[in-house]
Amino acid sequence: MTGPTRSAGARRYVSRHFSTKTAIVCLLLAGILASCSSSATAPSTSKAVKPVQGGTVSFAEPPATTPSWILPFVDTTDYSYFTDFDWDWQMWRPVYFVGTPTSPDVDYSESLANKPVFSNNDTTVSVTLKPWKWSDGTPITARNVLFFFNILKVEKLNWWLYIPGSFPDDVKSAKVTSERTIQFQLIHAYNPELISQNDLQSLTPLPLAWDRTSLSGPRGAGSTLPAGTGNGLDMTPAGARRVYAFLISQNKDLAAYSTNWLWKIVDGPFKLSTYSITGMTSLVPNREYGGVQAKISRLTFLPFTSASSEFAALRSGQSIDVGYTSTSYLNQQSALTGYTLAAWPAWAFSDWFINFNNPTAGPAFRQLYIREAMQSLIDQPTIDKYVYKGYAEPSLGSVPLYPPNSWLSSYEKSYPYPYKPALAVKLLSSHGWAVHPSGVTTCTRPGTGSSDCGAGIAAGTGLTFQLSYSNGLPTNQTQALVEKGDFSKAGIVINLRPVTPAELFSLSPTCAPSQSACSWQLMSYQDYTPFPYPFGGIDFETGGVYNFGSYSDPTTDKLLAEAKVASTPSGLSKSFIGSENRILQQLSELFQPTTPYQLTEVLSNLHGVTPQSPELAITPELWYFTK
Amino acid sequence: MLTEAALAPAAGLGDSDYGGTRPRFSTLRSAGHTFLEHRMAVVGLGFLLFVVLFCFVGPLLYKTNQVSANVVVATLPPSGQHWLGTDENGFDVLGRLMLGGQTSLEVGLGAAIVGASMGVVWGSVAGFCGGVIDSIMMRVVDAVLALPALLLLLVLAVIIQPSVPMLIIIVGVVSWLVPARLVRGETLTLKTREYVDASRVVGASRRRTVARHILPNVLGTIIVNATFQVADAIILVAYLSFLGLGISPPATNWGAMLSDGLNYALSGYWWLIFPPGVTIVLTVVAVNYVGDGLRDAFEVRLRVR
Repeated sequence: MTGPTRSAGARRYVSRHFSTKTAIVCLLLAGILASCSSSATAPSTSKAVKPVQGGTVSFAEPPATTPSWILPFVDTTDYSYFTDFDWDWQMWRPVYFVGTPTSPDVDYSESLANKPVFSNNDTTVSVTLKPWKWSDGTPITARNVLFFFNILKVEKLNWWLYIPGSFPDDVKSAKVTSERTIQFQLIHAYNPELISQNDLQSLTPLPLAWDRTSLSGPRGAGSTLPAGTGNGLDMTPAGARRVYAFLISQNKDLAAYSTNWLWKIVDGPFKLSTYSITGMTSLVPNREYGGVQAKISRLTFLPFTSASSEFAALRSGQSIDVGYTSTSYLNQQSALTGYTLAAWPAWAFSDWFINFNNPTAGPAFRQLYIREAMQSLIDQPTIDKYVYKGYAEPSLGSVPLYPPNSWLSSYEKSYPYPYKPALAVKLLSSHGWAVHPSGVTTCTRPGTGSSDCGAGIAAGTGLTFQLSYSNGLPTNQTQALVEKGDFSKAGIVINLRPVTPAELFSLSPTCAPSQSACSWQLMSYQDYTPFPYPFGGIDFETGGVYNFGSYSDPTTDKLLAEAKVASTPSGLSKSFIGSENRILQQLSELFQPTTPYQLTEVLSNLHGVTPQSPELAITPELWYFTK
Repeated sequence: MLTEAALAPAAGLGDSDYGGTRPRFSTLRSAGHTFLEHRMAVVGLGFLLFVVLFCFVGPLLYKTNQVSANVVVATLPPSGQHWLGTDENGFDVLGRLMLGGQTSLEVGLGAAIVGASMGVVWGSVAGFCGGVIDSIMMRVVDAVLALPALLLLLVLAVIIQPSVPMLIIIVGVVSWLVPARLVRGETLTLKTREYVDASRVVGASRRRTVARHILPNVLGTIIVNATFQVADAIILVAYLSFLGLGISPPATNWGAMLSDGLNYALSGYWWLIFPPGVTIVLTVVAVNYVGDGLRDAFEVRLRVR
């Protein structure tokens, strides 16, 4: 199972989490590197510290979020902006666990399955599970994965990670070939990296005991038959829908989370102990878990209404073992005692969405030279240094700079749009604009010629845009004010519109010019975590699910399509780099400094928490106290 | 022949229209004298005048950039260059106090006028008409009063992009209820007076009766209440800003400054907290004292002490 931040849908999740620290799936991988060096299953310990068995870890949930969803199948229509999934992923783990402390890639040592095997010219992929067990002692089998896939096929439109044309649309059929192996037949050859990193990571085995339509009624036939057989309610579309409807109904009964027997069957390192709809939730180790056994005896999730209330609790020493702060509060770090601060950078880039369909600003936004001028007015190094105290990374394009990766093209590394106000002025002046620094630059030469303002821009039109951003953190406002000042150097007026995180969340859907929802012009999303394989299709292709600004460029579409199906390394590299460079050159979004997901505060005698996965996953089974 | 003017009383501020025996200036002089006897009201008025000059004339003398952030000089302590230091965005705090004061005062005064005007119209119509109309109108007031003003403001501020005119309107919209009840009560009393009956007898229309005989006599109540509305509006805007729903930056108000400053409460940046906090408190207290003084001034029984 994947955390929301680990794929396309993560765009919303991460954005709000970064700006307001709301719901996000976290599976921390601290300790994995060390564990690889000595033992495949035990967290490493330095010679100076001796792990203590047991102890309760209190984990601060993101602000204003509560664990109000338990089914390891997130429904887009039901999941809330205020839903926290951190706890859920501790009970049900995905087939492929994404993210290590140093990379966004799949960590096969933590995964339920071995590395997928591609065959038949990359049209067939086989997934073989490890011999791990459910908490009730039954083995985790390929049939469990098929159960998930059967539901996914019929409920894909409700699945929060669904992207038309992608998983599961790119799968022709799935069949269980042995107790622990499931084989997927793809509709044609795909880039194996795309499939293994971005598609298969979504699979989450579900217990067959859930293959039912009532709590007390009979289970589906497949549940009672030997693993590997094809029977069960889920094997027909109608049956799968009924099962899903039942599971969703149980999922909505929050008060019964800790008593409902359905949720007691888990395959993750923890199982539910206590649950409160207020957000206070406790997990205890699942001793049947096939991976690393947890050393701590209890993991408690603590809810907070805001980042400031969490920080106040942290400061008062109210038993938070793993909490967070932000760059806004860095100057108050000395007020905390007994904590170690560590930045938690994400596999992400930040941007301002440009609404190309906005009826007022759209014509200006559709001019590349205007986007180039605007990008040239964003002083990422200064913002990083003074606003984020050096914790941010510049966003150069659609491939994140951190962690170091092979996807970053030389063009993106060259930072083609550095801060150059003079260039912005020159670009505007040469296209028929009367530039008025500190005033409003206006179009004086309307028309479609190469030196005119551009199509749809009337004489006298001013470069005035509205920027919506989250008011969740003081640094958001400071950054916006800094950029407002920088844009004024070329006479581009940025009117600031701070909104609540929830309102910003509601602004994001794509829109047609005639819709009232299309009134937004620029929208700041603090961060975005793409798939481990940073394929930009969902964000930049025409009609892409997360192409909120309705950007459309045939060349970009063509290159992205090629990158999706390129199966040879050289072909993949060429098409991927081509699409990456095109996306950057076209500036479909304005790239901004990428801030860390959070600045984690860890109690000094708690170990294994850091470094943290850029895929924002937490692995508390690797955490341990020392005396 | 009896005329309306001949029957009019020497009441309140409206008496001179009717050729009453006591000239208007003597009433004003008496009220002014009573107001001046209220020392704290005088001090409050003086302070308010100072604040108005500080906010609206101060920026002409103490020029600062309050539009573009300069984070290189963020959170500097008070110095000769920045008398009250700088905030987290590098804005000069003293200059920002002037800018924020403009918004707070404009919204406070504007909302008080809007609220008082709405309340006067609503309350006087309800009180004068009486009967079913009065019942319906006052039940509306009761219903709206039952809703917490802050909740209404939060909803409105989310729906509507806050700006100074918009804040004046939305704060005014939640501020008219108390004046409406006060005016309605006064009207009920006044309309039974003989001079009002006499006015009706000689053929004055309802509108004229309300405008000429009722409202002038409740003017004192209205003015006094309006001063309190100013203070309330300043605080309401501070609430909204504190909750992040105030006007958009770089514009600000004292409440927003205080809210922003509290993020650094543990950092020792006192100059981000005390200036706006103290200014809000002193201004609200001053307005309240002025209100007290005006109440005394318009209360006939207190004019001669």
